[in-house]
Amino acid sequence: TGFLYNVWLPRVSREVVPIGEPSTYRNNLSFVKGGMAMMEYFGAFGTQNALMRSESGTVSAIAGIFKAPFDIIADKLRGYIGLTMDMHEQPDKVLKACEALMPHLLHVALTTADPDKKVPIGFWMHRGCVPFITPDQFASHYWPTLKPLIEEMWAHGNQVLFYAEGDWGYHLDQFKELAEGSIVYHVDKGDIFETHKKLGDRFCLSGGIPNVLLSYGTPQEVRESCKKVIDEVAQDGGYIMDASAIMQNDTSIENMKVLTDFTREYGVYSSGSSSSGSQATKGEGESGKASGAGGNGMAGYPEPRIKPGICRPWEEKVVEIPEIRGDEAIVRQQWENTEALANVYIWQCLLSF
Amino acid sequence: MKEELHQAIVSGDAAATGPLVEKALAEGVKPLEVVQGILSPAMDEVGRRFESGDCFVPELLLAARAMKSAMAIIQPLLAESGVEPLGRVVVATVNGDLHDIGKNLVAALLEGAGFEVIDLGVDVLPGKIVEAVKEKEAQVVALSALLTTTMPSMRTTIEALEEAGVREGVKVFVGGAPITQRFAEEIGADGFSENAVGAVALARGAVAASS
Repeated sequence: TGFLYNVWLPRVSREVVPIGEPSTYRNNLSFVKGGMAMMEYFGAFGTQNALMRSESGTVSAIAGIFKAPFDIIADKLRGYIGLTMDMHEQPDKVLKACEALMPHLLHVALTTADPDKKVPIGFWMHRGCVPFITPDQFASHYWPTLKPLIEEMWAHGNQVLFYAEGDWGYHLDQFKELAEGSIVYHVDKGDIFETHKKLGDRFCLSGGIPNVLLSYGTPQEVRESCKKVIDEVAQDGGYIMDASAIMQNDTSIENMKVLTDFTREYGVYSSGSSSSGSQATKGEGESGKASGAGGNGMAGYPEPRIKPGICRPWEEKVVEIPEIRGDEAIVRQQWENTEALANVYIWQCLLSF
Repeated sequence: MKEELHQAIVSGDAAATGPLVEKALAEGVKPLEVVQGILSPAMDEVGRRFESGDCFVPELLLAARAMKSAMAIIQPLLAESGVEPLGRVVVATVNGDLHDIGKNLVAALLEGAGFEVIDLGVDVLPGKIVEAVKEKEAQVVALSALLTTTMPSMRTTIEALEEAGVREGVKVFVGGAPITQRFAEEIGADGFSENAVGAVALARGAVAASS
């Protein structure tokens, strides 16, 4: 966290002054503006979600945000090209950097997840797949620093939506290592039919309707695409109708209506659906561990020096203030609650923006 | 030495490449021969390995980087002796789109194959592409788009080339994640490739056909 505030943020921001240099008006303004604007932004989600629910009968599909350590390094810290060179020149350091990120990314995911654990944590999988990385790199860096986090989230009762942008078909066998029902696997450019063959008995799938079709195709083509996917992927349950990738404002509204109307009409299971809920409820409490192919999560990993979720530890603060005569635990809690705000700010800058 | 230089490119060893190129030149190998006899075949091998799934984008990037350090030495010498490139390609990510990794890969591989690449960067307006085609007398235009919302810019770029009266003289190729053969045909492009390696094949075909 200190690194992000003191080194990363000044590098990527035009307003933030590097640590040690004289502060400026603009520097100070940037933190207040950034922090408060971020709260406004996240606050708006609550209203919007409620509107979606009341006006459209639609639930927000995910809650919480997560990205793989390796992807964070490529996306936000070194750039894709930069990381490619790093993997060539200093792969050990890259691994250590991934490992350092792990507890913090886990913390953000768990603290932003659905408190009712009904919708999965959104896991944006950006470019950590073959051919953007080599199979060796996936095996040595990407997967070992990701898998324990998924297991840990499942042990807490949270499913993760693997929003696999692009084509992750190369790695399906590895994903099978994860506990049954612990993830929802989303298909973008991958082959949803192949994916269903490999993962359909283990995980719920989503996606597989190309965005190009939704933007530029005819309603009949959209209908046919939905029908094919429902016929081949959804018959045994465990499929969520969705576009392959994030829909932009060029998506044809007529086509979206076709997609939703057709799915509601054609995608009806003849028997009662209550049994298909059991896959999701498996996550609650210990049953998550029991149902899976094992996996120790974060067990055995060293604790970071400063626990995730705060910036400056209480131990540092307490020596600066007069002796506390009342309940220290209450004061400590207040300290850590406000520290959490600063922690959220910088980690959300890294993850969400 | 030829084998060493070949290996340096294939294995993406940029540090070793420069000195090996110098050595080759010192031993009397002509600059053009270095490109056509050693460097381009090496890049072709990397491209073949990529297509067969034996190597991946990181290796392509590293090889391209090694290639670049070789060309930094060779290019001025070629220019000096008036050697013409295999062809001239204008490369751009279209108006509204900022994605560039794929485009950069295409540019790097084209250079490796002996083309002169005019890389206009990202978010490029059709007018700028037309200008570059005219100014450089390019034979090929390679366009990249990664969003469904920017795909239409490919169409408007082709239309701009038509309006400027230069469409006949160039081959236009398109690529990017949402691009399909069907879309390429619909907008009147001359070809489509799923990856950077295929783009080089298209460019070569275009130049061979026009010569």
